[in-house]
Amino acid sequence: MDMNELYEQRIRRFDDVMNRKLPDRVPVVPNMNTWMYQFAGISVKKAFTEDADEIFRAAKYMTEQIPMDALMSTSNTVPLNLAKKVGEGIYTCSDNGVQIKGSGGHLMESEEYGLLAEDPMKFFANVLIPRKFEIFRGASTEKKAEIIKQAYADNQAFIKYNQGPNGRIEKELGMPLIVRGTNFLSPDIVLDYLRDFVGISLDVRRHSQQLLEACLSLYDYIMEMFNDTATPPDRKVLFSPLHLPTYLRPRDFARLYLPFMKKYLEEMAVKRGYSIYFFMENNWMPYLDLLKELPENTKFVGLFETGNIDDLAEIKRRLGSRIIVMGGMSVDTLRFGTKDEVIDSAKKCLDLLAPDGGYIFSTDKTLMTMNDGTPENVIAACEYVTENGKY
Amino acid sequence: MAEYATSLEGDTLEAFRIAAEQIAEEQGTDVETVMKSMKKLIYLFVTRI
Repeated sequence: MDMNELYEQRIRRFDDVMNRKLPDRVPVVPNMNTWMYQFAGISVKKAFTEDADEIFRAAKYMTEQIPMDALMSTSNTVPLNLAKKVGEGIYTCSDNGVQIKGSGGHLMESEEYGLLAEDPMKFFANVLIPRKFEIFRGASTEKKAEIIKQAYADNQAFIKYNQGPNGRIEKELGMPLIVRGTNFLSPDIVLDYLRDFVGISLDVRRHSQQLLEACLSLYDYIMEMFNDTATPPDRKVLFSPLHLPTYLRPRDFARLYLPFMKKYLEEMAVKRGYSIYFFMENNWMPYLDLLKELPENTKFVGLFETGNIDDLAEIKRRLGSRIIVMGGMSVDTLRFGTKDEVIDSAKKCLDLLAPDGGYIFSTDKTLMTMNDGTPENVIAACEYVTENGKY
Repeated sequence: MAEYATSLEGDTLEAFRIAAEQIAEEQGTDVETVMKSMKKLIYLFVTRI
């Protein structure tokens, strides 16, 4: 088949589900990350920093063996060369993947929420960047401008580096790369990069109003950045990994996090027509009734981090008009299960989740390393759904 | 925590503006367009590297 036709056929399945129509079959979109490189025997470090053709080779090797309808992305999302020049940052990269360093997420104290709320960009630039990167501390303004110019050039080079393989994957392999961009919801920025888990857990109890006000201000900064260079909605999704919600008690979630989900979906999906993809980490079962506040019939897909297919069926039953359900295939089964067990699980996904559409087959967790699933099992799961998931 | 902030004062944001002006001049583009990219670069420094 012609690659343009194949691309169209694949992305149309995704389109149909996002538009709440019945596709020809259940789309297969494994939650693929650096597993792809290990499967292909390609060094992640080399692919991400030295030879962009290695990204294409890994995608080609994988997609020739595993039937799927889209890749979320190639996973090269951290400008490692830029980071190295300013002092490494919070990520390290090896042949096997990209890892986050232990304490990278604690960059500010609770007393500083007022400063963050007052002017997030100023706070980031004048306070947090010199704090995080020694190279900025004590440097003259001119020296800082020089460092920034180099960082700007490195970031442009990083964007260009990815454009090559990304274009080839779509054109030469007919494989859609479905994520067009990432927007964190602001409470997750505070968790992941500013206060870390211990800090934000205390803040929820002791400084919740300051936390909320800072998150509102940070949300506006994130939206402003998006709007500065926004292009119209297309057939791809805006991705947000939701990290904080399930660490909050439901009543705290309702006050401190749900408003941001609602605001974002109403603005981006309802008013502006973008497709939204939330990676919903951990167990969402205690929060389902609260999610009924989210708008109905939007292009919003949630990948739930659970291999419990009965729970997913319950989520679809209660929230199917609001959330297109993605997931179902447990990486534990892909790692430890027999081929028959994998097929039984894939069959259960189709039986319980596929009827009437609104479902995308995927893995419950991100496939980072070969420990997240044997090739035989990943292939078996995807083959089963492509062969048996027809409507 | 390496340093404790007491205000938003500092010259790093100004350094981003200076860098944007220099890049705009070198590339023959307008400063506002480059500053939009700089806004993202500031965010990237804190959240992506």
